[in-house]
Amino acid sequence: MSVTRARRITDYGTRLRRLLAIIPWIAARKAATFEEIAIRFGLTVAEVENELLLAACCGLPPYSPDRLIELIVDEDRVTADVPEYFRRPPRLSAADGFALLAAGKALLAVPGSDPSGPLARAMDKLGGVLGVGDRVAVELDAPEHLDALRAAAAAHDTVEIDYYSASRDEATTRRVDPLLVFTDAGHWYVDGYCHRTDAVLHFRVDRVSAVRPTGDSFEPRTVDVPKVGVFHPGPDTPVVTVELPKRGAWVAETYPVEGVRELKNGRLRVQLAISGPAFLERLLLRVGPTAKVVEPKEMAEIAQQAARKVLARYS
Amino acid sequence: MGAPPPIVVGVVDRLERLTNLIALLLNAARPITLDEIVMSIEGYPKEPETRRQAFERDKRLLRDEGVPVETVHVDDGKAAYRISSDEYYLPPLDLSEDELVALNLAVAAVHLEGGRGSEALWSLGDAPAEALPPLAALPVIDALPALFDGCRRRAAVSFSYRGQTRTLEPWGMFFREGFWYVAGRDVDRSEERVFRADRIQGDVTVGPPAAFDRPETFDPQQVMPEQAFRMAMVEPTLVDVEVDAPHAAAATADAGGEEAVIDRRPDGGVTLRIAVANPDAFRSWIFGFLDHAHVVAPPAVRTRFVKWLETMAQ
Repeated sequence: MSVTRARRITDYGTRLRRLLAIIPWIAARKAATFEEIAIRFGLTVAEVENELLLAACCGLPPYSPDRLIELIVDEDRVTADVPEYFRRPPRLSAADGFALLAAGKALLAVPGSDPSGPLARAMDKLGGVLGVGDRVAVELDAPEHLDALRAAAAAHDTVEIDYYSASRDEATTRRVDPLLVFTDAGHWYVDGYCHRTDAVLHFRVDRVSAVRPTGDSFEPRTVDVPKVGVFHPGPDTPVVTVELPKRGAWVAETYPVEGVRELKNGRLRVQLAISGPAFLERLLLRVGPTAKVVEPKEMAEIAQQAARKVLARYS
Repeated sequence: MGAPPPIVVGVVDRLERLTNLIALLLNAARPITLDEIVMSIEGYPKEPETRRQAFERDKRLLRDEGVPVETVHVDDGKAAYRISSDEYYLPPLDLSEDELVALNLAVAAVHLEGGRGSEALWSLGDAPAEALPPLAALPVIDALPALFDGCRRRAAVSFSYRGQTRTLEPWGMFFREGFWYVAGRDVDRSEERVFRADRIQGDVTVGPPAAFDRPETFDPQQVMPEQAFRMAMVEPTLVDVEVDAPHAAAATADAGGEEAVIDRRPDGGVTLRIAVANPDAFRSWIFGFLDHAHVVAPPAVRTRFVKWLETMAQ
């Protein structure tokens, strides 16, 4: 039995796989410049020199020329004479094979991708070699207005959207420049400049209920890849203190909490940054009757109010 | 080229030792023992126990990187090692130019947490690099490569899950609603089970290969209903839920699509009939709509919700 440990940045593992990829690559060309190798394998020229110097010592006893990796360095260029057994790269590691399959399958799962195009064919070949092509599946949802928003982002068209804000529990209409449409942690987002708030905001595409063209276009600009899967508290985010029963411990594991303390009676006191009152209402309704807000005092009644609001639907 | 890096005489870099070890085991006519290995390869410590430990570390690293080091026991019970060339080399992929480009674009557009992906392309061939806006981000958790290894080698995997040790014959993996899952046969319970990969605690142990047969018809995408409230915890109960217009589309999608709609009101609101197999997950789901949804029937479920809310409202 072998234990596959959690992957750490094992420099030797990465270096080894890279070396075993570089050597066949040079061998196939007979010669290459350090710079070409550096670009191809994401290294600096100095790193390439260092790795190749090591490789030049490698081979089989009795280290006769036909059994040794022979590298001849001439200025910035290296010529390789590689024994037969190192002229082909090794199989992909499980981590690399999985990474490739996951990336390809994810892109194929994007609505509108070509199920029989080059990527699909590449995935078939890769899956065949790895022996598991049909055993890894990636599903992405396809919210109704995804296509319209992706088209608008690609054409730099300003649109008007109807949007439901879950943290405030309100519906709004706003003009938005859709800068980037992407999926993260199971949801599609449009990262867009909102004309109403004069800021770049993340909108969940499944909460967009209408997209209307405005006839205006916007200047394209690049945005950083946002990390939106989790709500990130900012300096102005309100913090509440909530007391939970023991079975509410999942709250501390699920949301960005700023402090957890276990009380003598087994209950938990949790400090929690909230994105809006509706977020807190949902959380309290889910945990149930024994959860209560301790601080701030003016929010102490929020659980009761939320329960009464929902209860009104049942009467 | 500038001045070459200094060479320290007598110290063999581990990378060199590893490369030589591969060369030796790949070319050996028969499995060879550690005693034989150290006669050919420099860089292992002299003291037997330290030497054994250093070799074990090398062997584990090679296996982690996908190099198939086999252990066999020779006549006198000693362990001997080899690398089969049938197992070692990457089989020809025969990727065409456009397929290779497509693969490169996929790796550029899909961000894998932890940064894996581009390294995977080292051995597959050259393609023009292009900067693309990101289109998708997928979480990559520590357990995934080992689970994937179990899938592709048909090897049982063992891990700790919610405090219990589970042994699973992994049939397939899938990503859904932001989470990775592994599905297969739970060996101890002799049942088909699904596990969320991010809830696996600690290391995953991969057993010997070719240990089981996967059912031919298995399709990872058919494994599990999409919503947590349909994941089997108890016998499913049919529950009718009324949802207001602004949330009707999202709720209908969660409930499995149009076939769940049993009534549609002129204002756009819907009534959905949902098979609930996990009451806790269902409660969490419906409270997500706050006062935009409520349970209509059956009376027992409705009463439970009313009681829950009444106690809270006091």
